Amino acid sequence: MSAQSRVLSAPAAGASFWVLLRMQLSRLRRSWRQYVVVSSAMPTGIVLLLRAMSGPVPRDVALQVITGNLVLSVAITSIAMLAQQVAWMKASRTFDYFRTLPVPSAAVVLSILVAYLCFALPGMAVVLFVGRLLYGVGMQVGIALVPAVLLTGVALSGIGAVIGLLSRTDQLAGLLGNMVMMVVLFLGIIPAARVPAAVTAISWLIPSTYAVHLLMALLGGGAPLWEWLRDGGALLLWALALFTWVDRLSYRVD
Amino acid sequence: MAMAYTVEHLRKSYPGGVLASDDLCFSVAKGEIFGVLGPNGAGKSTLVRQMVGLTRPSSGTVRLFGGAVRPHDARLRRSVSFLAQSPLALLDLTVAEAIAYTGMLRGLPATAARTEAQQLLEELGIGDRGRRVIGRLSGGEHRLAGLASALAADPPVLILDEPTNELDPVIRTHVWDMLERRRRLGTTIVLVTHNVLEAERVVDRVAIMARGRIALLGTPEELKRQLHLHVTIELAGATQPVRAAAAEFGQVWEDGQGKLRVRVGKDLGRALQRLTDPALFAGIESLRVLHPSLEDVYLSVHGEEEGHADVRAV
Repeated sequence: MSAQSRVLSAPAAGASFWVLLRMQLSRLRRSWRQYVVVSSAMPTGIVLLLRAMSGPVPRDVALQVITGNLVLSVAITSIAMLAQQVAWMKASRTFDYFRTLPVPSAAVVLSILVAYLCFALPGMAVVLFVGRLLYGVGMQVGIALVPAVLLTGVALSGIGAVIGLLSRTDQLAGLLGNMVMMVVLFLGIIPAARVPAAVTAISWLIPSTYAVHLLMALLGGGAPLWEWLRDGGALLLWALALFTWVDRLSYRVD
Repeated sequence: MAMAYTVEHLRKSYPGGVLASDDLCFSVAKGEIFGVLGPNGAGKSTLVRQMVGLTRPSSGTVRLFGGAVRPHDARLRRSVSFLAQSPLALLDLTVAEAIAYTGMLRGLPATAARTEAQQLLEELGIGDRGRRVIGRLSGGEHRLAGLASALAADPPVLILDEPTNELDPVIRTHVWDMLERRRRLGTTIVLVTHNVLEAERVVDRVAIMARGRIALLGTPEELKRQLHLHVTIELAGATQPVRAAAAEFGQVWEDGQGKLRVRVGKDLGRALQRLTDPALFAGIESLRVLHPSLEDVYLSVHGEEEGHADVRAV
């Protein structure tokens, strides 16, 4: 067989994505304890703290606290941790391995973004369980949560990845990631009525606000359709824009 | 002869005026093992990064099987496998997973990729390490896992950047054997290495780089002839009369271990006859004939006076 005849057809994008996702998830082999603790400790602690300090609260405030902390779980892994990881991948030329394989760059980028969402899932489950237990609010956990959480994850991971790709060092990426995570925390958990109007206006410029609203609408039920469409649509646009930006930055040629 | 790679007037300059590739011209034939040698900073990595589309040349062209190489070129990625200096993307995988997943990403069905992974592990003599996580392996094993992954799906062109770094001598032998087998099957291999002595065993031609340029290009034998590198006789326990006799045949000097060396050129037969004359030979403890090696060629380019010549006869 001649050497050139050995060239194989490139695998399908979907098949590549699953292999790449398994590669990314293999990080759990060494670090699963870290992801479980980091994604659950701080959000669960905030839920406990707010419940202890405020006593019984109206249902909508309880839902805001729970969903805000669900999004915080995602922000911790997808923004703070991913920013540092991506900065390290850039500095160590880890992307070169993927860039020389016959797989679409979009599959590589999506696998990284989705993997970091997966790392937040244990934390989200803990927050949901503890929040429901402490506040005693009924929540509708349905299949619609899957695309909402996926969009939340891709949008927030997109922010983390952009920070990582634009930072000069992984320390700087870690610092910026943590600062952005604090913004998500602040704007996501505190009800809009309790912050100045200017801050509320700014909050509509970041995807986490739409994520909190969408998850609140899904878990609490009863939100009008236009709110679902607004929040879901805005998240989708953020996710697509950030995904495209990450794709371009990570596959940039020297 | 059909060419796998053709590089024409390749230049790469970085901001600040650093010229990493300076008018490089060469070709690599299909099925050839082409060595790229040079010290750190000579421009080897920049060259191979341009050959795999990871770095865009400032000017000039790189052609693969006749077609110009462009970044994100699907044909290039299907045909060429690149082993970078450290396979950090694979750290959390087991060795077998790293090979099998790479095979799948190169288009092999899952079952075939797993079977091939086991075969590669056996071929490289690390069949027992397939289930070990790469990040927990020693530096050499880590390197070997990366190499095995680069071989997955048997691509027609391999570009290997320091494949034997940190490997122990037994495993290095497996690697050189494996590269020879790949060559026999028609694989084109571009080999960047510091291990000049061992590379000589497998390379068909070499480019020796210095400061972004190709200082020498040819087969190891051509380069030795081109540089007029001579056979050297090494003598231990040489007396003054032996020194005087040796000086008749060429340059004589003492190496760092008190041994006498004589560069003899074409007069090897006559010099041996003279130096083994019973009248002179009585005090000599040992005599060795040292043939010039590719490392001598390398050292002559990079300014060393004398290297470690390969021992061919005693």
